Amino acid sequence: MFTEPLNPQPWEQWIRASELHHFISAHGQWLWPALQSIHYLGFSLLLGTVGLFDLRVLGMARQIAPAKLHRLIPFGIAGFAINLLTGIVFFFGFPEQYFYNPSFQLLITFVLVAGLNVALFYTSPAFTEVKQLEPGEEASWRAKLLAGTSLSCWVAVLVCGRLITFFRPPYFH
Amino acid sequence: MVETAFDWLEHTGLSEWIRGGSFAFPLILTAHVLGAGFIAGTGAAVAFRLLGVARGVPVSLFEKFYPVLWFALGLNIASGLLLLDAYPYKAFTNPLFYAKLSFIALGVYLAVRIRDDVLRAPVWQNSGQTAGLKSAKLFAVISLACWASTLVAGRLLAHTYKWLLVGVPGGF
Repeated sequence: MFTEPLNPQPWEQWIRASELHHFISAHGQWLWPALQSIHYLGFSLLLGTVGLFDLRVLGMARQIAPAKLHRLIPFGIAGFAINLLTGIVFFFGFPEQYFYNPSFQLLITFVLVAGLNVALFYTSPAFTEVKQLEPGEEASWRAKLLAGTSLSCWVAVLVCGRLITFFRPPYFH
Repeated sequence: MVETAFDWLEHTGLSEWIRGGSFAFPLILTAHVLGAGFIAGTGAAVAFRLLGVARGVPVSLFEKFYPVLWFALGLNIASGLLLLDAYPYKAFTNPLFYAKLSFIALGVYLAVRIRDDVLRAPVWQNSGQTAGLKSAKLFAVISLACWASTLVAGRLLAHTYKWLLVGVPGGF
């Protein structure tokens, strides 16, 4: 089973000395399955809100005005916040399992790209344009590109997340 | 007797190939998790609307997103059967697996009821009014609970199985 890495970095030692790490270690038996479940619920919230909004911009359910559908987005943000928090707890539980894991590194990369994409969407003319779309109207290719990037990134995040267990560093086996 | 059947299933070529350490198992598992995320997410979006969120969207138009739900359900039936073929004994000896199947059955039934009785009800056509039907809100709440329970049960299957294969106990 699990053995600690031979030469832990200072940041690893700091995490392993933290209260949170000790708490997780002591209660991992129930905490881990519970947090994994919540993490999964948070993600599906993101898919069902941001994902459907992206699909509308891409052309699905075009009879819906995107501005009205946008009211679902706060639930997606809540889902993301839940996953950020539970994710931090996972990281504090087994920092090396994630930090040295290519699947986790890719996951963080996709989250960052998705975040940049969000910033780009809301600061570019694409947002003003999408907000003013009437029912039945098609979005511009720029808006579609941003929505497509968003949907692809979040799907990629979920794929990487599920694959983390298959790319654990060797000392976790 | 039953063990013999599971033992036979576990030794079929497909079952052994999925378990064999190739890309197959992670790929099927990932597809299954992705599909479930879309099913629960789309179901949740419909439920939120019925509970009063995004009232500007005519309720009837949420049927336009049903293809997402059906496509993901198809993907998950296929990937689910493959996972079941890989580890049949693991699933069928875990009571939680039957609970999960029940949540899915009720969730799908409610998705159809919501479509037929609520989204297609004449009262909703082209109107931005708030949910007025009491049963619509009840359907929404139970549907949300069903999909959330499905995801949780699915996730917990990995933590609760008593047997991995016939004769091979799980670590719990």
